[in-house]
Parts: sequence; C-alpha cells; structure tokens
Amino acid sequence: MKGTWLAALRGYVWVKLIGGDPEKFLNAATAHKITLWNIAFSPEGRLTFGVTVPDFFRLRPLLKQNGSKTRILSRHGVPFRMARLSRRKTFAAGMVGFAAALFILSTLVWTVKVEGGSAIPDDKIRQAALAEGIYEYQWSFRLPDSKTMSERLARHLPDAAWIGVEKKGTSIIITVIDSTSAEERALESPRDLVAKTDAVVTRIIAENGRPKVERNDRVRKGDVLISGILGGEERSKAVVSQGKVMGLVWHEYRIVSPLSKKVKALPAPPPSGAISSSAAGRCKYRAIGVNPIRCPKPVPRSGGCTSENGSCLSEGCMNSKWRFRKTRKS
Amino acid sequence: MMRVSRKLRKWTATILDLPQDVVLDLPRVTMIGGLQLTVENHRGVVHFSPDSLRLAMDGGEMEVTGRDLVIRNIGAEEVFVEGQILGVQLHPKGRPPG
Repeated sequence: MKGTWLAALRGYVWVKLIGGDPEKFLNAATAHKITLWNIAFSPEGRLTFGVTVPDFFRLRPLLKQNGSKTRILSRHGVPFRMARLSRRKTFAAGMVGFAAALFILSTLVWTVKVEGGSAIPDDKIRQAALAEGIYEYQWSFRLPDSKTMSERLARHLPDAAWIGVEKKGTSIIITVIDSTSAEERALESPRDLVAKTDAVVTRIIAENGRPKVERNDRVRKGDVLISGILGGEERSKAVVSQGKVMGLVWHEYRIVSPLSKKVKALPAPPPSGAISSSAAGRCKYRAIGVNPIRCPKPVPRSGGCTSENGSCLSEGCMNSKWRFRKTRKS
Repeated sequence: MMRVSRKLRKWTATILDLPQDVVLDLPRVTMIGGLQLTVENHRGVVHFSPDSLRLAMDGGEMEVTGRDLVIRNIGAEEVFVEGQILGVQLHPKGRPPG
C-alpha cells in the first residue's frame, strides 16, 4: 500500500486465498514481515489481497503450512508489462529503436553558427572550422573540448583577436572577435596654417604650432595664421601646425543686368473679356456697358535697387553681407 | 516477576508523567470518523471477516465491528482498517492489566 509506484515497479498481483485458515495465514505473513494490502473478503467468502511478486514467492512455505492454495486474480506492474511487450517484438523494437535514434541524433552536430560580427567573412571562418572538423552532421564526440577547438581555430584565423567555440546541445557557436587596429592617419609634413580668404579673426585655437594673429585682427588671403615653426632663431623646429581659426568673412557680389530685355510671355487672358493689354504697357479698353477700368500706371524708375518682375534692374547694386565662415585645417 | 516489573513500569510512567502506551505496550487506536482505523501495537489477527476483525493484544482482545471491512495494510506492529466501522470493543481476558 505504501509507495504504490514502488510496488508497480516491482510488480504486484491480486491473489485469492483458497482453503486453510485465513487468520493463521495473516498472522504468519505478518510474522514473516510479508506486506499484504487491501485484505478483504470476496463475495464468495474468499480472502483476497495484494502482494508484490517477490513477496508472493516467499508466501509459498506459509501456504504449505496452512494447507491453502492461491489463485492469481490479476497481475500489475512493470515486469508483467515487459513480459507482454516481449510478445510484441516489433513494438518493443520500435520503442528501443526510438530511444536509440533519439540518442544517436542528439550526438550529432546539427548547426554551426558564427557570431561576433567580425569583419572576417563567414565563409572563411566556416572553412577554417571545416578544416578543424567542426561542420554540420559531425559526431559531437569526435570533437575535442571547446578550449582546444578555439585554440586550433585561432591558428587558422590570425586576424581575429579572440575566438570562442561553445557547444550548446546540438549546435556549435563560434564567436569571433576582431582585433581593433589603430586608425590610419595620413602623413603630413611641417606646414603653416594660412588664411584662405580675407577675414576678421574671431577665435583662434592653436593645437599645434604658434598662433600669429589675435582676435579681431584683420587678415588677408595668404596670411599665416598659425606658424609651423616653433622656437627662436637659433633653435627652431618645424611642426605640423594644427588648429582652429574662426573669422568673419564677407563676400562682395557684382551683378550686372541689362536695363531692358526681351521676354517671351503669353498674353494675359482678358479679364471678363473687356480688357486686352499689350506688352508695351499701354492699355486699350472697350467698355461695353460696364464701368471703365483704370489702366495701371508704369512704375517710376529711379536710381537704386528697384525690383520689378523679380529682377534687379539697376547696375552696380551692392549686396554686401556679413557671414560667419569657419576655417579648419587639420 | 512479571507482575513486579509491570507494576514498576506503571509507577515510573505515573511518576515521570510519560504516556502510558509507550511504557506499557498497550494498543493505540486511531479512528477517523467511521471510515478508517489504525491500531498500533497489536499482537496478531484472531479473526477476520467482512463484519468483524478481532485483534490480539496484551491481556485480551480487541474487536472492530462494521461492514465491508478491508485491511488496507498489515504489519507486525500496525493494522490499518478501512470500511464502515460501527464499533470498537475491548475484551480483557482474565485479569485486567495492572
């Protein structure tokens, strides 16, 4: 009764006792420490009980003493089930085969993943792995442990800083970390930093070299802003001058446009059919039963920048503008 | 001799305030409603039928009456009975213990 699953594992039987004295039998069984359970009387007055298979065989001498017999009513548990299975060979073979197949397939390497986002192309890593025997559908027991695998892979891929090989179930994850090389800088010779245009310096920061101008200095195109020569006359050293100079830069524009020009344009549609205007600006109108409409007067043309139809008509119009301009040389 | 030792044990039990079943090897009966009954310290089965179960105990017998009695489990010390239990009677044999 206690631990029914244990009884099921060892196998147990329901037994009917025929003949003899049931009380004596019970006492003898308890005296021999044979566990019986669910002891009850069947409707025809026979004692029935459950007993495990090993205990059932131990009951035999007691039964002989008591002069009684047993009849097995039903069999339960794993041993009987296995016996039944042995009769169904194909089914049993299928069960065993399934377990075997599961085991065998789980020892295969099913996927090889490459991770780490390396600049080395995946194909190259995979080729190196293939050379070391890490490929799909490989027996995982043929692979060495991950430490040796990563060491061997690193020999194939000298560009990588670190290679990790991790086995996770049926997949192998290769992590490749690139070695970071220093940024390549262009070679530079000693130089001065020179103004590109005329400007008024607003800010000067010399990272390397000696500043030659100050704030609010007016510089011309070609003036040295930051000198590349350090030191005095006796001892001097030419360096690559470097820095940041900001200044106000202005641009002068001289735009010339003819006073009169010919423009091809479509005639404007006559408003409500009453007015037809000519290109010369003269206005003809015929009023038919409507109030006369005033013709627009031409705009008086004086000096300066007068704009008409979106174009500047005067000559020598100065359009000066202050603008910030950043000069950077590095 | 038996009588002396038993008297001594009972005296110790009362003096030291020990539970009597531990010292005197008396049966201990645990009953859950009319459904389950556990008897510890029994001395074997005297009679068993669906209506009654007679158990031997020190200095007498114990009878469990009921209907459709089933011995769920039986050990050297313990009996676990299930069924419709109607009564538990004690039949002291000869002299009562003590």
